[in-house]
Amino acid sequence: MTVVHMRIDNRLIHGQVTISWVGALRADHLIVSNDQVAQDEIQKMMLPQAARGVRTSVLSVEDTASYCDTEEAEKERIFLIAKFPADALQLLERGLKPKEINVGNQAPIPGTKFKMVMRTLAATPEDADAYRKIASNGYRLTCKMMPNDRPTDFLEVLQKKGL
Amino acid sequence: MIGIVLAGHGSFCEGLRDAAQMIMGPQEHLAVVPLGPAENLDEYREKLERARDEVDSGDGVLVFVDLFGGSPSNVSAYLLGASTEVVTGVSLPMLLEVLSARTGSLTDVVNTAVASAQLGTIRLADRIGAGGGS
Repeated sequence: MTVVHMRIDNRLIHGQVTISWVGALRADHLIVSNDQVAQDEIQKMMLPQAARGVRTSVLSVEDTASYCDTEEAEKERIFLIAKFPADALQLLERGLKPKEINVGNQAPIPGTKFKMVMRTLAATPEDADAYRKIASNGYRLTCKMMPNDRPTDFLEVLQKKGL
Repeated sequence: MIGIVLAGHGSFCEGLRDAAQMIMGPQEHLAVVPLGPAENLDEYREKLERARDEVDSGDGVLVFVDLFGGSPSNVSAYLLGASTEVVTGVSLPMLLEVLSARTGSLTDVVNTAVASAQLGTIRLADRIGAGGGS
């Protein structure tokens, strides 16, 4: 499988992703991975159009993992967007081995015990646990806004905020 | 009267409304829904829906968004229906056209908006015969 990059971003596909990241990664297949989004007919119609011509799939976590095991996927440069850290963790547990993992936007969810750890990044204690488990799979979790930014270690960011 | 909702990244829609009102004076049934950098999209959808209900006088609502493929545009798709339309790539000339002709049907107003998109972009030198360049 050739998942060249996994991004954790609950805004899914948006300007920053299509304009800056797709090109820098030379990705030829975008996969949005989240069970709820995979059942949302409007998002399934809108997200591929938002991707400006790059092939786009909107799949459940399970279907993402199965697809990434296929021969077709092996020939691709897949840019995976997991909606939440829990989705990303589940994908790793299902055997996915993305080359790198970056945390994009996480807008706060009202009613949860979140802290803003960066300007566009909220995290709850449960999220922080998921991020640490992701990193324990041998990843240096970064939080870069643009592909060429200097990488910041996201676990250090969480630690500084007491999470 | 067709209600108008302006939606976009950052303070784009507030700036657009200010500019339009500076030219045409205060406008009724016009709402803005700016998207902040850390905004939750489910909440943003609720804000859009509230704004739509607020400006609707029974004739329908046109939602203008800044960028096709951006989050405001993606979220606005949930509002589409018999009495709500969405047009992307809003500009000041487009908004002014629509604000001065929103007593027609929703379809008429949408057509006005889409047609005005091209009319608003002009190479100024062509208009004043200054030539220049090649």
